[in-house]
Amino acid sequence: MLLKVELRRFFTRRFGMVMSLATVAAMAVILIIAMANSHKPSADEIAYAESEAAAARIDMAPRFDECQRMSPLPAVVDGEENWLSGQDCAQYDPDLIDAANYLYGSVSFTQDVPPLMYVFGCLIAMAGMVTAASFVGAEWPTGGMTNLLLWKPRRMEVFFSKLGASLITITAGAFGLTGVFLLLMWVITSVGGYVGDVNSTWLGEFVEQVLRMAALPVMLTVVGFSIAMLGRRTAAALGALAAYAVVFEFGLRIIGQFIPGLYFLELFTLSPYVIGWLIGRYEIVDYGSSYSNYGDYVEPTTITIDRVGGSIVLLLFTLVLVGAAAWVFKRRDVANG
Amino acid sequence: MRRKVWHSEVMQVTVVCEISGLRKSFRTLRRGPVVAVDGLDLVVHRGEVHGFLGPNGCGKTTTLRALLGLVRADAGIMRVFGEPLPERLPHVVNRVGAIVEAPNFFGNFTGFQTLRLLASSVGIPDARVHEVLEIVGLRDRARQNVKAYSLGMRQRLAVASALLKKPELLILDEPANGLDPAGIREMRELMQSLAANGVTVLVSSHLLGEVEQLCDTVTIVSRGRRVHTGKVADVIASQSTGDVRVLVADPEAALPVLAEAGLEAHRVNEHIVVPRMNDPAFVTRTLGEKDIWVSELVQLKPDLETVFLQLTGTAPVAGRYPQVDDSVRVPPPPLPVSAPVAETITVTPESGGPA
Repeated sequence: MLLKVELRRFFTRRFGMVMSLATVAAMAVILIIAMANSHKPSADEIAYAESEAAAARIDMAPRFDECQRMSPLPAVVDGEENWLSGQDCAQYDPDLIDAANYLYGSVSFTQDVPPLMYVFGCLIAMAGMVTAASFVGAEWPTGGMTNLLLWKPRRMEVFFSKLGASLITITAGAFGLTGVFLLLMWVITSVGGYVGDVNSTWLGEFVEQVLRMAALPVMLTVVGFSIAMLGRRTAAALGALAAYAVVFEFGLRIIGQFIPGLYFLELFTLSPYVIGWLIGRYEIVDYGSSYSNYGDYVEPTTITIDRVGGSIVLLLFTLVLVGAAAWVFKRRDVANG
Repeated sequence: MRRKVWHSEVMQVTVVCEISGLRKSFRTLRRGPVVAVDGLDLVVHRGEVHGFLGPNGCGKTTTLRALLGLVRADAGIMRVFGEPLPERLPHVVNRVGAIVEAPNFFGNFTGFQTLRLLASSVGIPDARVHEVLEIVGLRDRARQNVKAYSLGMRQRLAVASALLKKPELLILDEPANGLDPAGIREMRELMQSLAANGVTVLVSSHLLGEVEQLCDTVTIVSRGRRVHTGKVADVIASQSTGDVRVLVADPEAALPVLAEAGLEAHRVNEHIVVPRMNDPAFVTRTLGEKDIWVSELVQLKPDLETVFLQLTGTAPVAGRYPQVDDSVRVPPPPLPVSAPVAETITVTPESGGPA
């Protein structure tokens, strides 16, 4: 019953609506830029692109076969380096070569929407984080939390109802906005660009990408909610985000890249794990180790974050944060707004 | 044994709220632990309107917050409807309506939305929301955003939220805060009518005139401890000095007569005040025997405000600015007495002990 009430509270608040409109506005900007930079390709352009694509498919087929054969094998096979070891062979898949690759000045659905989805997904994730933080952060100083606890003293019920309401609404909103975005991109590329070859291989890859992206709004919703719950202010989440970006994503990365031997500091940022989860592979390279004392090139020390590693770290980070927020909320004295 | 069980049942029926030895301190970085409540006791019986009084910072709000599960007590026993708190709070919370301290609400919700969200969390129908808005006089402002409400209107909304559950115990922290004179009177009448219908009210307030008119019993606290408790009339009587004020035509003639009779009378303006006078009729008779006729005789009784200031030691002193922590410190209750451990001495004829 409390979850239903919290869902109603979420929809009654204007902030969620404002953030949705802001996301729609950003989406509109992306679409307008796409439209402005696109033209409908002529028959000649399409014929040229299709012939180029056909030739590329023929070239790529043996590489794809080799990749499928070699990628499961270790990095060194029979004393020779296996550079395909652990590679994602989708990049060589001939079925993913589309005539759209060879069209210039036209926005294509199959080629341009997947990268745009990363931008759009990050936008939704940020909106989700701020909305979730505001949902709980605004409750503390306005006395809403105190009033609710006077009615519902079981704090964990309150905590998880609020978290559940945030997750349900933001996830539903994310999928809804993504649907609208894809529909509009389809219309734009149909009318003023090129749709491309929406075959089952492309569709499978794209659906997988969208589902992976969906984890980001979910994660950031939980993160924003937890920090705002810990700090009892929306600003706590926004401040933490700003501090994290400056100290970790910029500070640690710069130190790691410029001070020899500290390349591993990048491990303490979240972006490598996010990229590992989304793309499947991220490498933290110690470029300082790529030359020996005699100036010879040697293989640099590399830390690889794959999809499994990325997902485990992100999951643990989120769980620890939400666990800490729940524990503090359970024990906290509600003495002041 | 049988009598004990009966007594316990009677206690459960009549005592609605019971606090014993409640302690709570807050940790602060600069001042270390600050003791807010220091062994407080409080008992509220069914159907009473009980005033919970004390100077600023004496621990009233912390006590109410502890009772309502908002802060964790360090020690002590709390019971509401016989159920131990905070463990059983979820089981009794639907019988308790409460407002604690400042009436804060989310500003962008209307009064109706605010109450409706609370009501729907426990399945109270919208009709009851309209009912309480009518009771507190916010019917016509129900669709207005709370941020446009005055302090008094927010206070009314807070009271409405406390009434939503049709509570058996109403806990109100400063309910008259910000109310206009009519609102204060309405609040008093509302509490009186609730009490008449069997609702027990625990009210904290600084409006001691209101408390005196409204409450059956009071508990006065200072620096986290109980200073006095009992029926309002008894608490006032306990601090009464028995002074008598007399008006006669010629006070200068009356003073030596009273002195001759052994009374320490003194003149205050046109009146004579006779302190600690248990038998006012003696004054009338003494003066009458000397043909001095009394035209007015009033037994001076302090009001609750005076008693409160006396008991808490917060009465203003000329030329001094009392600080919030300057109120009376009540000595801690005596520790439970335990029998001293007997020392066993073995007396033998060789040790030369008593014969």
